[in-house]
Amino acid sequence: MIIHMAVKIELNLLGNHKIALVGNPNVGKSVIFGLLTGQYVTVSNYPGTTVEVTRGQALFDKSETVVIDTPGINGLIPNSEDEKVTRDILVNEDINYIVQVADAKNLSRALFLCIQLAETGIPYCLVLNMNDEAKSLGIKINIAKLSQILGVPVIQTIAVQREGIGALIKTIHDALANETVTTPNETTNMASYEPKIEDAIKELSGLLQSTPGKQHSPKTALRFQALMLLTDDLPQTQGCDLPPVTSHGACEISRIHSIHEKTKQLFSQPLSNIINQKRLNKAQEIVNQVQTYEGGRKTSLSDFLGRITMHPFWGIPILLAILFLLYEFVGVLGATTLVGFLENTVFGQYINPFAIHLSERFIPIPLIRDFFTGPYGLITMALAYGFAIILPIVATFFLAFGIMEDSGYLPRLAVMVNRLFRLVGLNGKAVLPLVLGLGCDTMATMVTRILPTNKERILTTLLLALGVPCSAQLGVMMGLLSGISLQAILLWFGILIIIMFIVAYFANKVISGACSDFMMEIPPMRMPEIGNILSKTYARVKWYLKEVIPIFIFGTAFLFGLDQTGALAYIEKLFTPVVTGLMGLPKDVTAAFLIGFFRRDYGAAGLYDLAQKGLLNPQQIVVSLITITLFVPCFAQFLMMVKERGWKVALLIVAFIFPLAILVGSLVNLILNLIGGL
Amino acid sequence: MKKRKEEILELAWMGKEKGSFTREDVEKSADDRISPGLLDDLIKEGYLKESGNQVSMTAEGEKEARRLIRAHRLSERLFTDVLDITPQNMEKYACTFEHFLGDEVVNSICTMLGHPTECPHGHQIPPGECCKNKLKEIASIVVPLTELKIGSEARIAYVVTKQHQRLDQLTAFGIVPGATLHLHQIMPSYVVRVGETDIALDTDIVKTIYVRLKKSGP
Repeated sequence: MIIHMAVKIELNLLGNHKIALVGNPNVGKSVIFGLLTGQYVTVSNYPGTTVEVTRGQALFDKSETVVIDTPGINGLIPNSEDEKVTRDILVNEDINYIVQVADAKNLSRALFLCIQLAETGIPYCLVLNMNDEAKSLGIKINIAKLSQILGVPVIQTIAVQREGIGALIKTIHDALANETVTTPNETTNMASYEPKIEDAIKELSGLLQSTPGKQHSPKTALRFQALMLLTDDLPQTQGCDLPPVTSHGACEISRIHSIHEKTKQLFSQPLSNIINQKRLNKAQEIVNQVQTYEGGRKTSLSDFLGRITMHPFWGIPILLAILFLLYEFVGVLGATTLVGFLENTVFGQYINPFAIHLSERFIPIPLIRDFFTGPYGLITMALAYGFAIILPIVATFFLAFGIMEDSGYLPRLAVMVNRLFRLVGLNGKAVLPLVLGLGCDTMATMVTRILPTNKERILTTLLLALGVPCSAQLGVMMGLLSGISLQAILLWFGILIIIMFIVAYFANKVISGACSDFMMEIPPMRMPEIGNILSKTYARVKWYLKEVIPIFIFGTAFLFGLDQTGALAYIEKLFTPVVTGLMGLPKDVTAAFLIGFFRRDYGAAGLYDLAQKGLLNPQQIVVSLITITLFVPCFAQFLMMVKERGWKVALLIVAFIFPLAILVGSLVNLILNLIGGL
Repeated sequence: MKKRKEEILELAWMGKEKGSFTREDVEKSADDRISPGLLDDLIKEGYLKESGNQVSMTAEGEKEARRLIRAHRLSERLFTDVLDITPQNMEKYACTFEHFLGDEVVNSICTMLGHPTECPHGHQIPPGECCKNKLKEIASIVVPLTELKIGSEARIAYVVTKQHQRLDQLTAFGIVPGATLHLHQIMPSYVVRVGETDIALDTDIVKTIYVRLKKSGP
């Protein structure tokens, strides 16, 4: 168990309880979820990384208490898919208790949300997390007074150090035990709005109450439902996008609509804005009562690093230095030292000879023996490759990525590249999936969900599929290229970047839809927690291996089958005109390309073998590598594209990429021939 | 020109924004002191012309209407952003102001407010000479955030955007009129701090945020 529970309180049978963790982005909901359930969800210092709702059994309650981790929200008027997901959980599911997790440094933003949570009528408590950071800024919050104003328990925590978690569990426990007592009084702590809005709320509440029909959100207050109806900005044709309304007849919908319209006419600004203003004022009013600054704001190391890493001038050398360190760590330590040790020593000297020895002794049939230990053998090729070459590279990359993520560097990288990404219809936010793609494109394709619009998701998926090599591929490719010259590496890299830019530029024009605003919270730089980094790396590597090894085995078996039946020779002949003619490559490369359809690194490894045998000259290495880098990364990534983007988009991307890869490879060969070769 | 006639010209301008302006629009207009007879006068005087049921402005009429609308909408901005007059009264005063403000005064107000592009209701303010030249002779009190110096603080005066969603998002981050904002950097992207939150913003968004400069010195 990665997370050890400091406190366990056994609850007696309380029946089914649902607790929702709700809060602004990047305040530590996932950490607290981990502490409450013992279940690890990816935690990072990057706003909006929780894209999926995770449910887990509470550790402190052996009976059925379910804890729900929700994507971070800034308010209950949804502005994005994530926010809608969270709002809908509160509206549709019978949530018994809300734990609002907040950043103690940003009390006013937390209270802005708090006021809205209070309006739902669901009992809640407020957790002021990251108390240590608030303290270091000299922020002092009068907890007793805040608790009194809000009428709910307020708990201070430092979740990553498990401080205050015991108190939180006790609060939840008490609340669930006396459910009726802790329901906040509907009228005590809420903001009151302009009289005309209040009138509309009353009118709507009355309408909702008198309406028969199924109540979809029995736990939320009528006032909250009325407010949701007033602030909803969605097209009114199907009524508002609120469950309570959908069950109402056409008559009620039109009445709701007319109240909404009537009220809207009274104000020059959108209603949501007027209501939010009031909430914000109320939040600020509370902050003024309970928060004081003690001592001055000291410029800390974290502040300094936070600034300098996105400085227009110093940011660039820092970025280059980080890339260099990344290369040293992943490329040199991981891909050279560790791979060398595992491949030559562990597999080369021990496992492979042992397996060959065993198979020669116990498997009499050559065909089956070859299946395990032949040149395309399961153990000698698939497992040796998967564990000896891929594992060290992937593990070192994810470790380094985890450090970048948790230190808070990635959002700063987003600031650095935003303008560049703007040129191709993306914005800085796309940096997270694209960098993660250097680890694993399949995982990165899943993470494109953090992007707000569909267009951005498609564009990023396309780029990942087209030209972002995952760490396994990078490892093999760099090994191949470093054998030739720096010139070759630059040529490969340059062509890759140019192709990606051109494709993104035109795809931006072709794909319809909007790009989102770049409006992103930049969290403070933090010292990464080594425990979190390790568990995150472990979770990612495990995921990767689970996804990767079966495909290796399948791919190897496939190739073995082709080789044995003679189909490989036939396909090689079929593609010979293109491979040898246009691209100027030996026909053996066809096999590598074929396997590249399953995993491009596997294909690259095939090229590596050919190069080792002296079958490829430098120009052929560059041409074949460019071609295979542009291939779709792997079969798993294709399946993920289908899952995330749908069949149509996935097939279109694939149908676009393979011919493009062959075309670019042929062109590069042609041009190199014209200028006299590499 | 008489005040009532000027109001008809303004109606014609707003009609043009909406895409249609007819004789009926004048009759339906809230102010019952505007008589349809005045419309005919304006046509005779060469400010308006009629084709079918649509009434449109001549070049001369458009020039006059632009001046009036500009004065009206800039006055609204002035009352809301600088003088803190309630929205209910704002309209009333703006209707009075527009009729006697000369071009020079209007341009001064425009410059002082940082050449705003929209009135508080979200309608376009027609740009004047001063906007083209970006005259800075009168120090602006309210400027777009893009003109704030790096490292300085200012209070947010207003945010001009038609996108409710963007407005809601900014509100959630605490970027609202009245909040104090610290501009950290503008390259490679804008980064501002509100409260204890650092927020990176696109230039497009930054352009829509207008801030009131703090008085420097005593």
